[in-house]
Amino acid sequence: MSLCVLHIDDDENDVFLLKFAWEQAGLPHRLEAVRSGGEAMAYLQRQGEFADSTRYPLPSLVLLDLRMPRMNGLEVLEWLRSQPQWQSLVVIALTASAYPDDIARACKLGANAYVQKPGTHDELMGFLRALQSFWFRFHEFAPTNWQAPCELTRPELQP
Amino acid sequence: MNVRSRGSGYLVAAGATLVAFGIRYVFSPILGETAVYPLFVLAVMAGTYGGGVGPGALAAVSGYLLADYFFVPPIHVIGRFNSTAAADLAMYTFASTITIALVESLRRVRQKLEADIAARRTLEGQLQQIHAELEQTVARRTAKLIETIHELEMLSYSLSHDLRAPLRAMEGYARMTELKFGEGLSPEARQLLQRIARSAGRLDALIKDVLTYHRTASEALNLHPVNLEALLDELVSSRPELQMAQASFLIERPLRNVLGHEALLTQALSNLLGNAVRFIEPGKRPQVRIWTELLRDGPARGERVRLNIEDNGIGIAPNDQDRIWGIFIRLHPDQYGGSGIGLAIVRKAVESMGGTVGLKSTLGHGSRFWLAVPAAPADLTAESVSVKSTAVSSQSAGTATMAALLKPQTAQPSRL
Repeated sequence: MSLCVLHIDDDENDVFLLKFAWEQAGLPHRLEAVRSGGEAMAYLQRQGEFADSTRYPLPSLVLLDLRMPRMNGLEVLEWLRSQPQWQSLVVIALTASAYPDDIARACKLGANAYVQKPGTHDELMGFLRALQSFWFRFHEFAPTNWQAPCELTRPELQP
Repeated sequence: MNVRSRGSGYLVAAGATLVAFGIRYVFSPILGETAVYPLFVLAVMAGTYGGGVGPGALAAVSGYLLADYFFVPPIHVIGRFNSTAAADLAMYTFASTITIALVESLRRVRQKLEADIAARRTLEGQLQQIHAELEQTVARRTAKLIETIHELEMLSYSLSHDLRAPLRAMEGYARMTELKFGEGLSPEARQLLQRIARSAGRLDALIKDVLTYHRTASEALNLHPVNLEALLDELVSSRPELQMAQASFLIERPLRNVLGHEALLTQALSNLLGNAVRFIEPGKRPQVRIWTELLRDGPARGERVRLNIEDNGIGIAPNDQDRIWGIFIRLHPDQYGGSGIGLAIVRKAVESMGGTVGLKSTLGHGSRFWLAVPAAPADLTAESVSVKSTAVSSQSAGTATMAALLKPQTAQPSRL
């Protein structure tokens, strides 16, 4: 089953590099990227340019940067979890921030995992392998409405 | 003594003499010519106590005049004595002098004491004021310090965010260029690209390590019994860098349980094990022996457990053995890499658990690093400790790695 992953990140480089790593890893899933919280809301509500559902399929997994100008990732997350449709959407906070408050708040607001942005291409590939072997198969075995516990991944312990 | 109190001293002397005279006068029908002076000696005493030598002398003289005029025969005449009266007068003079001397010295002692007490009261007041000021200063400085620490923390977090972003990009683009266009490039150009990527990656690792060090240093500690065997098993089986090295780990069971902080212990042990397999001659297979021993340092420190990690690596020269625990110390920067913070983190982590670290090494013949931490209380059986530490690790996910992402629900590695 081909899934769609929505990457929400204001950092052009990170979007570009994730896309490249995605192709390198040969993942059979789509990766769409939006550059702000506002765009993410428009995408998920199929507003404006995102009305075309074949061009912009709804995601089953979101990679969410927390530190973004204007609407930040935590606000996006709060909005997502307030929408009945997106209660069980898998949201992984993928952010450079290791600020404990950010981690705690992301988990409290219902992120499924908190991952500090991989610092190198190899680490990024490792992260994608982890996505592939667990989170992409999440829908196969997780009961509906099941909330994955938030894994507090300590940044320094990541590969 | 000021003028007013001196004047009041003379008044006291005069009053006392008059009172003495009055009493003696009232009793003169009974006493007749005997016991003329004792009451006047009392008046001298009162006068001296009230005002010092002057008033005392006044009381003595006026007492004599009154006594001689009214009570010593011949009455109403001053200065003519029989032999008894002369003896009485001599006695009176002597008694008055002694009284004045004694009472005066008593008075002086009292005055000195009073002065001391007053001085002390003043000092106490000043002391209280200084104390209050000091408390205020401490409170103000503490608040400022907390603010500074908070700012520093914020700075370190935003550093990790802002500094690392361009580094990620640098490393990523260099790797991308190499992977995408590497075939069209000369080997030298490819090598240069790899150098860019490696340098950026190393700086990124360095920043991460500095943040880890900072966090280790400021970690609030809650010590629990920790099952070292379980912890080491998990480390050895889950750490990619330990897998890659083809290393063999010999864990001499049973290991003793310790009282520590699981995340900090994990951090320290993973750094030590990483070093043990990393610093080895090329081509040699790392062999790491791990065992514990119980240290009894006497009742003051209680029982402690020393965990030894012995490798067959390159060893450390005696001159370097102290300084390797410092921050940013790398003995072999080119050959073996690393940020130079690993052992500083180990030491910080162990010391914040109340433990100590050390090493024994011969250059070329491997090293034995050890850490000593408090032993877990003896009444906790290994089983209950194991259950507890399992619960802790799955709850707090303090040791969660990407491996935890892969198998977060099923990850209960076999223990014991």
